[in-house]
Amino acid sequence: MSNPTVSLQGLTKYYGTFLGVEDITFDAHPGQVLGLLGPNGSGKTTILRMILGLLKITAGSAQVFGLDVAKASPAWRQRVGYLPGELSLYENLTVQEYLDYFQALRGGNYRIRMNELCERLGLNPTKDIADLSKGTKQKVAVVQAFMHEPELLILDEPTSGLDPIIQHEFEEIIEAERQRGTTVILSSHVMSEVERLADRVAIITKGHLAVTQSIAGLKEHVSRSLELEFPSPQDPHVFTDLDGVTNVQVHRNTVICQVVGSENQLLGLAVSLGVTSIRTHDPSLDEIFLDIVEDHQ
Amino acid sequence: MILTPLLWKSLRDKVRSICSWSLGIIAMVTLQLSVYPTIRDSAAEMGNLTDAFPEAFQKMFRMQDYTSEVGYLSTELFSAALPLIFLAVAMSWGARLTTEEEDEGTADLLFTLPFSRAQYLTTRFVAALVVLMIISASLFVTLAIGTRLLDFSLALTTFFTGMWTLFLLGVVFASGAAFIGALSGRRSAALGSAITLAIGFFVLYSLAPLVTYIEATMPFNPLQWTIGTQPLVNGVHWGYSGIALGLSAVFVIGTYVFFQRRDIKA
Repeated sequence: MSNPTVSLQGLTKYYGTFLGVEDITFDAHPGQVLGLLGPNGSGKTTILRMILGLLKITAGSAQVFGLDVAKASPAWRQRVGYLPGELSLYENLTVQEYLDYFQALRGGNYRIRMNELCERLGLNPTKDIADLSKGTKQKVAVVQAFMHEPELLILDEPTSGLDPIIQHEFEEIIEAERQRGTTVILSSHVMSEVERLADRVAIITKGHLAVTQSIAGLKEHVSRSLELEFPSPQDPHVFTDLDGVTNVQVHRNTVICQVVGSENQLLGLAVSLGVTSIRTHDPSLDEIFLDIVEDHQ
Repeated sequence: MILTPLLWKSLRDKVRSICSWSLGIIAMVTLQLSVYPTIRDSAAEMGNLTDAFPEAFQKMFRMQDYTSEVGYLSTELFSAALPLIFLAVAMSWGARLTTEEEDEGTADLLFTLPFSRAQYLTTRFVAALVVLMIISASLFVTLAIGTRLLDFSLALTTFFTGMWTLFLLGVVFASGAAFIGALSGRRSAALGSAITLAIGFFVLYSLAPLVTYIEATMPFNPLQWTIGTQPLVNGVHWGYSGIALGLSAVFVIGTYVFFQRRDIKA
């Protein structure tokens, strides 16, 4: 695997005596979307703000592009695009003036990409920022974060305030960025969005990393419901003896059970008993998330 | 290195305020100068009148030799009115320097751009100095033109000395307010503390000629280092100017140290 774009090792933040996050360790690689999930106040934004150097690190380290963010000169941030969760723009500027200001401070010329993104998101650059709705301001921030084609995107609740059409457009932009090899760290409360976009998720609860894994991997370790139809009634004990099978219920010719891990043993038995139909219910990321958070409460 | 777009934006955002302060200084100086020929033409009567003021009042407002050109300008402009304007502008810009982006909620995006906090501070300090220079220049030009039109005999260097002293006063309090802002991260705390200190120093400075033990504190009072040296009469006091610049340098270094060490508020 390629070198990680972001590498956190035991990252810890205390605000005085209050715990922000503790011992957070994970990597994010090029071409990968990492979903950062957690309840409100769990420490997601604290992690993102430490990666960006906005918060001082209490212990551990955060490396971006192989550089220690606490020690490196700020040039590395040229390769980063950031969309904060709490957004405030300069209300006295127009959209164009705002984007030009950020372009000038970055020291490049991103006009072509800027115009392309404005057009794609339906953003009128001549409008005064003070007159924009929350969602339209969010679009301005999206253009600002993407216009310089960064190698790392850090997005904190990026679709907050966007309408469904623009949310879809945004997801397509993220997908294109992933194809381009950009690393994306995405903090979101919209589980369906994370499920669609993320390759891996890191779940934070009460300032600690509960799990970091691919979504497929998470699903394997969470119980799934299976409904099996047989030509005749079945003895439930035949199923309860199998590894990973629990909560077996029999209703006439139907067997309903929960499975954790591999389904192969169960399916082999079902075939040998002449199963006529199998229905599975894969847990959504929502359910997995709630399951993990409850386990860590 | 200075961030030119940030410098321009800092000045552009407050251009109305800068113009207002400059015009205010021009109007006030013009008004005071226009009154002086009357004072000069009736010097004897005015002398008797000011002599009749209580001694404490004369001392508080440094009214020595009120009817002379330099005495009049010192009393009417350089003892209170102009220093207060310079203090207000300086403390406002100083406090804003280290707290504005956080107070406005724009810091998160700004401080993730590829420049250091030191570059940001340098640029904002330069912006504050430019503003102090603009209002200083407004004062100097108005005095230079006004006194020529009204046949004052004072040399331009006298006005330059007065302008420099007020500029220096502004630098001390701007850097002080910036330092408190760097420590606290709150504009209200920075501005509130700086105003409280300025008022305290001003009260002590005013009462010093009347109360012996307060007079003993004057070597530690920034107002004494600047306007207290009676710059129009005595010229620049380089010793006190050095102390004022030294304290400002300490504040600036402290601002860099603490601003770079602390968390940026979301």
